[in-house]
Amino acid sequence: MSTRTEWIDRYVAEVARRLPRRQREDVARELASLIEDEIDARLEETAGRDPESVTLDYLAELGPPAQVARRYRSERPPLVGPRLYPAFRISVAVVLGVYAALAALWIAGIHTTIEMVPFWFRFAADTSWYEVFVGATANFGTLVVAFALLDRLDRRGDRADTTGSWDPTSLPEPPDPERISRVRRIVPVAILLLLLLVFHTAPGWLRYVAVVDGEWIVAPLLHPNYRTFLPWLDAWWLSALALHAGILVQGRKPAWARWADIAVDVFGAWVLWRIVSDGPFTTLDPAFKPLIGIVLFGLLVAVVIQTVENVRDAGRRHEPTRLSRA
Amino acid sequence: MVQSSEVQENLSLEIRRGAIVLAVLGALVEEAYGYALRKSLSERGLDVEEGTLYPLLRRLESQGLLRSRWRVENGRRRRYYRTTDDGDAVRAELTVDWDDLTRAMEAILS
Repeated sequence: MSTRTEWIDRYVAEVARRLPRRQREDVARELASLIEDEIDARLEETAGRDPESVTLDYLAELGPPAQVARRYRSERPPLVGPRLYPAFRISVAVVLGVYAALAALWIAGIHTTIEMVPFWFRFAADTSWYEVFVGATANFGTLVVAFALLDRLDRRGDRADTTGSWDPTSLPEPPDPERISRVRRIVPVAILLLLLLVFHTAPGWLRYVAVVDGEWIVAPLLHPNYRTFLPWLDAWWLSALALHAGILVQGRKPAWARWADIAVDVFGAWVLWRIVSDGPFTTLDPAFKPLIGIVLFGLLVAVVIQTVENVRDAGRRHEPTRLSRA
Repeated sequence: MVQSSEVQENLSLEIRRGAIVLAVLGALVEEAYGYALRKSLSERGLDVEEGTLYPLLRRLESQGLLRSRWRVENGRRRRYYRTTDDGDAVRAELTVDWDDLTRAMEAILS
């Protein structure tokens, strides 16, 4: 890749990451094409000049990426902008996921009350369905308000970025969409190894604490019958371990790994389904079933999201500037 | 305190904003891509910054006044724009408004 292309890619990536996801691809492609045209024209006018310096001069004139992105964004900005939206989505999934899990336990007769201001996880004996609904809405609303405020601050930072002169050589390298952070690479491997270790060598570590007739008891969580399912769990976790070990070694998650991820999730969902239908698996059955149901549902959602993203990505494996050249 | 040059610059931008929309609708009766359009406007005396023109094209498209398509030319993909029927109708109405306004302004300023 020539240096000229590299600077254009960096610039376009910086503009694109500030745009809503649905707009990002299209604007990036068009902007790259327009910048190429402008630079070509300048190179023709100033024959003999170094393409890299012409490119950098032009990008400096075009203005900071934050300024260009602001012009491309719709006139009515969303409550939570594109840069914070991924974190917002994860936060909503975590908070409402925990809320749904506690609600499932509440339905199964296990009561939990966690005061985690400003969030609300109250599932006591006297909690009504109305309060469950209000709680979920309040938790979601808290996140929306918090992220909307953060977004305002973020945009203020963007506005500050658009004033004064700027230096295109300070543009960071565009992120590799397949690169996975070190934490996201190590955590799944560690969890899978821990699961395999505990289920094979120390199943007695898995215990639960409960109050029965006013007395605290500590009892093993796994039913002796759990070994019936162990070969299937091993197959699931070992295939997931092989996949994540591959990602850990490569440091990235290429297209094949995404499809393999879906296959592992589908297989995991099937194993869980067998556990639910052919149990018992834990000494808490049937109270444990809602939890497995939630994990099953989570896997199903993950499979659907991952499949949709994979199909979409398959159509646009690219770098923006390359798209501008047929 | 706001500098008078800054005030003048902002007022000038406001005047130009509406004019640029009409100029774009007028020029895109014939299909053109972003850079060619900017050059053509510039050759006819209207310099428009790329940071203003390119987002404007997309906004007019989202309003249904322009339509676009990707074409490959000399090994490069470019997005070509031209006015829609709605765009042509809006241009015709804006042209009448523009004529009325320029006549009135000439009378006032002279």
